[in-house]
Amino acid sequence: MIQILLRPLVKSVGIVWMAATLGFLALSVLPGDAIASQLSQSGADPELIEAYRDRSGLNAPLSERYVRFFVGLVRGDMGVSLLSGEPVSDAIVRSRLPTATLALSAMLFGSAVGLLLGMADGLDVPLFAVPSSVLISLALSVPIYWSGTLAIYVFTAQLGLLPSAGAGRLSQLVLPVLVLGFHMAGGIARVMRISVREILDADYVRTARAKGLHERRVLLVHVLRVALLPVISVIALQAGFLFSGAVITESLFVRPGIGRLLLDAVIQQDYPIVMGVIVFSASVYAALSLLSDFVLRLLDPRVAL
Amino acid sequence: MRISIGILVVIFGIIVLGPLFITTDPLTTNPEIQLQPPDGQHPLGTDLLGRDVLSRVVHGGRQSLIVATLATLWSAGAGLIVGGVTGLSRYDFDLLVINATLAVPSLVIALVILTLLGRGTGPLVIALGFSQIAPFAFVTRSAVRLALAEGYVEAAYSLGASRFYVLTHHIFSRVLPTLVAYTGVVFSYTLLNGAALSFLGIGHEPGIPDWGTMLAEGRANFRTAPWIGLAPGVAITLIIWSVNEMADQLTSLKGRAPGLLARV
Repeated sequence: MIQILLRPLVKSVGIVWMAATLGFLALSVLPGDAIASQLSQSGADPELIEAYRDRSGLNAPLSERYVRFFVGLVRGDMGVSLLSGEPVSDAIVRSRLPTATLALSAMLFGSAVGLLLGMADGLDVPLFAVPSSVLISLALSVPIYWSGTLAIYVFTAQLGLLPSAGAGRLSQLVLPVLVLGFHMAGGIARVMRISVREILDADYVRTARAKGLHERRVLLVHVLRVALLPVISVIALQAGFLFSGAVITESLFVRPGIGRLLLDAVIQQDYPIVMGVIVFSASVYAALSLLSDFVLRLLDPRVAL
Repeated sequence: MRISIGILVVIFGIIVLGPLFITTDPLTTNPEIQLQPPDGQHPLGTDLLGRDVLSRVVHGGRQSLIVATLATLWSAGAGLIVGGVTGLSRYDFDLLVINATLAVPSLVIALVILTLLGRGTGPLVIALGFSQIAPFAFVTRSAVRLALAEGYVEAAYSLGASRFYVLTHHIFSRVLPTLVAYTGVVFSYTLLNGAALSFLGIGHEPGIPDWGTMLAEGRANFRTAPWIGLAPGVAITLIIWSVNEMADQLTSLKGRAPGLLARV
């Protein structure tokens, strides 16, 4: 039992560690960084830059820097921003809330819409199947930065109903959630549709019908409950990839958050922040897949505990 | 399938042959005709600097599609080698590296690489392609493992076929449809991510038009000139839709690795 719970946990920790290490290696081979470009822009001579780099430990050998980085990571200390001097963990904690609000709301909305669309299309519900399949195709192929612009055009410029920028008020959350959630719904609906169709063909469904069970009972108890299982892991995976969606959505709707933090750090070559966001996003991904694994084990007797 | 091929042929045709007919320069600014709605002179209107939107869509499309195609080719090549080797090996430790790379969204990986390499077409191709190697390798690896487990592979070995013969005659033909379909999926991701990076303002050097840049201009002028982003948005949507349809038709990849196919 302990082993069953422990093994996925060790695997997740391994994934985060590996992602952090790869990120560290990639960012270590860089020629320039924020300090160098900032100091040289302000006219500092190379000697001064070198002295500064020595003091911040940027000139130490790779192995030493890695050990320091790793020890810091374990203690929750990911260094300080090269530009503002703010601890990386503080910057992430500060930006976490708006992104979490956006991502969670989009996930709920997207899952609900995705399940409904996938169900309607998969079960071939009259009147709803065709519109659903069109909506699924749209959700899968319209890029988020365009659907967002269209939403802003309709709801802000034409109807004047909702604000197109900012965060904090509920009305400012509606458009980003609609856009990001709709995008997510496509992936979920697609898996739901396939899953429903596969199960409709299963022998036990035919048996249930042959027994004379009411059609509604067959669909609810025998088909949908089972069809939901593969969708759970997809929702978790999508949640991980909500992250790239958040980078775009936060830029599109001018919202603060982790995506904004990453984008600014990339533009300004603020590596500790970039590193922090990599570790953060890998941790979220690992935690979510762990969670979905666990939920699946609880719900599906076929996945042995 | 026919419709998707038709759409792709039309879009690629317009972008390849378009510059022969559209003689307006996509970079010429004209302060007298800023943000003009579509008319006879400028069928898709003009942007903030008075540049012709139609000409920019066609030239920008060329830029976007060339970047996406090159990125797809190098990513598929590298992914094929990595996935092939790890698929044929009997060890599983490589999964940790592949999983770790999958744990970070591809757009974030591309962003980080662009931090290292700076802006421009070359870095963009490298960054976009690199971010798709892990998923491609993962799909290849899984497909190879599935093929190795087939009864006829075992039968071929027991009949005395060499490893090389089995590889070229059984494994390769078995994994090919999956890989062709997934190459299409990778193409749609590189196109989407490439436009996303330009949209975020960190892809190309300023000046070179591409679809992402145009969508960003459309976002900036959404009140006064919504037509700027319209054509690039429609074009990207149609291409992604067609490629998805074709990938679905090519294999029954649908059921497999849904997470990989369903991501942002």
